Amino acid sequence: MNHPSTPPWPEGAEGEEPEISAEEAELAAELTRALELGSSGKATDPRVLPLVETAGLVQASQKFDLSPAREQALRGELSPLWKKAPVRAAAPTGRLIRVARWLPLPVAAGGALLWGIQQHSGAPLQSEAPREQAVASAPTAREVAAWDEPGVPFPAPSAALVRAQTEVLVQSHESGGARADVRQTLDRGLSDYRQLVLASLGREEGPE
Amino acid sequence: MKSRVDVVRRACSAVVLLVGLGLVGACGREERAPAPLAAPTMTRAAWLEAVRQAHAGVDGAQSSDDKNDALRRIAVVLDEATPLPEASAAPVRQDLASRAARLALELGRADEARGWAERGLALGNGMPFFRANLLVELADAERMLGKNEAAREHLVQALGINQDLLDRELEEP
Repeated sequence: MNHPSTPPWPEGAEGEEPEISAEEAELAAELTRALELGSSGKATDPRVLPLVETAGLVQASQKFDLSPAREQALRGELSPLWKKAPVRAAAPTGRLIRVARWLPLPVAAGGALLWGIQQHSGAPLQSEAPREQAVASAPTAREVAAWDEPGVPFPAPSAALVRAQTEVLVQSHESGGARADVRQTLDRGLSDYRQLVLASLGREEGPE
Repeated sequence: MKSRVDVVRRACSAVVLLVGLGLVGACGREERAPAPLAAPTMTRAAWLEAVRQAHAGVDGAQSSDDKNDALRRIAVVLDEATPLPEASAAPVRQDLASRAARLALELGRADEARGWAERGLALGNGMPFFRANLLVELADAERMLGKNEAAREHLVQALGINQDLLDRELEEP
């Protein structure tokens, strides 16, 4: 890999050692191993491939710059990654992101997408724009957190419901539409969730 | 040479941004302000009951006539001023708009479906799960109109929202 000589995030957070659990330390080691495998191109074990793919995206952030528009367009090519991450490898991905969340280091990740696509398709892709453009388009951690908050204590959708939605999304993305049985599973879950939401509003205090 | 910890830090930070960029893509379209609302004319309980009835109409719709009736009922509720704070009402309205869009799709009216989905998305962030549903309806409408590229873009936005929901679910103890 051809890494830039300077890190693609602002200096300053380097000295802050986050607390890390034994499990997270293990994950860090696992990720490091995946990074090495990803670099060597020798990863074939299906249990580790999703991690390698994630690691590949990560490595690419150090290699490419990408305009937000190009990044947006290329994300449409990420079907293989999405297919593995949310459906088949949700746990490793979630664990990675949990670890990642106490490392608030801004990085232009658009190039990572490019690299991941390249790894999957073998197609040569080129960098297009300065990293600053991608950085400018990225939300701050606070903005993301604020967007996450609905402002009202609605019940969260269950994991089963979110996964049903994932199935619909993945099938729609890959096949141009979801199968009827998959759609029905989502609709059934939605119906139950809808009742919960309406019930929570019925209990909410406020003037009539 | 950077240590392994440095490498992991870089790695994790990129994953954070990957998710962040997904969210930016997901919420970058809905800047239109909703239409000004008139003074509420019904109580909270009455409005919620009207919402339930509108959903019941969709649930029981079999024929095209049923579906058109259900659509009209949803339109009435969405046009009605709500007695709830907008932040509370927005997810409910998003969900209704999503169902209207799905009905229109079932009736083969892609333009109308797109209109319903866009109306729901214009309500603002609301609830991420319902936003993702609206993006699915919008994608299906675009595909029906032959705009596959636009459809794919909406699905990618929805995937970004959905991924974040999955991640949060996995973070729960």
